[in-house]
Amino acid sequence: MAGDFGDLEKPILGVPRMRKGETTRYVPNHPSFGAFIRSDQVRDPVVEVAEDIAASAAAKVSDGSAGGLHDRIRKRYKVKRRAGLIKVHRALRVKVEVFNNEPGSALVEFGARNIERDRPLGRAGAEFGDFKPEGGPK
Amino acid sequence: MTIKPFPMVEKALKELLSTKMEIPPTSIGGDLSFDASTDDYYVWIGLVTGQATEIDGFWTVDIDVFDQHYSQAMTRALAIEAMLLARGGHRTTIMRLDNVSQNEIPIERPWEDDNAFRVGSTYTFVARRSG
Repeated sequence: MAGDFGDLEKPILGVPRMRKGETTRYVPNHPSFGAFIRSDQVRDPVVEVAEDIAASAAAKVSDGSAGGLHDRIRKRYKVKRRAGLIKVHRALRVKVEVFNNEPGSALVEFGARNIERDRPLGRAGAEFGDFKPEGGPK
Repeated sequence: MTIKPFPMVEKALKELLSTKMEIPPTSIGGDLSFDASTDDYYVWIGLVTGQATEIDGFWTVDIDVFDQHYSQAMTRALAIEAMLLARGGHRTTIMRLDNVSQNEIPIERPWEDDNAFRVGSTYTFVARRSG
């Protein structure tokens, strides 16, 4: 048997010690990788996507009178760069938020009992994401 | 010819919520006539946008929980969130939801009724037709 292992000094004999049904898999939980994925370097491209979403949402707001509610909503989409972290499955990732601080924007976005929702930010956010690897609207 | 995008996802979500969350099918759907004086709670499913071919597609969907009490609405919305975001996707008789991601966390949304609370969140589903 010893000659079958070539120049290995200490060959591992026998079968791998794994439980029945267990398979090997790659889990990217190395501390340095975790620190990198939460770093400012990774946050920068997320902020760029968030700014694109904000611009797309502003373009989707329906027309209204100049200086009116829709006009104010269109001008007040903002990006919050440091919005903390978000847990995706078991891993923490950087989080960036797009928000609108115009008081009437929630009603336009989500609607209410007698107001039909318009969803400009929701529709803009749906144009970007991991389900469209190329990213962004066409 | 493309499949009718929303009804299939709506039916799949309705089946998923009724089987896994034990919510009666009469309390799930696209009806916005929730009345806090008579109805216990209601889970509203509303399409935001989506694209589909004959066999697969992605859909962004609002799932809003209406309830007479804020805590119950939020609890139910968080339970739905935990169920939907579990690993491995979901399989229904109509569609297979391969990937579920969340665009907005459960948060209170306006409804203009002091007796009713609306807690909603937004999800994106990558799904294909069950064969």
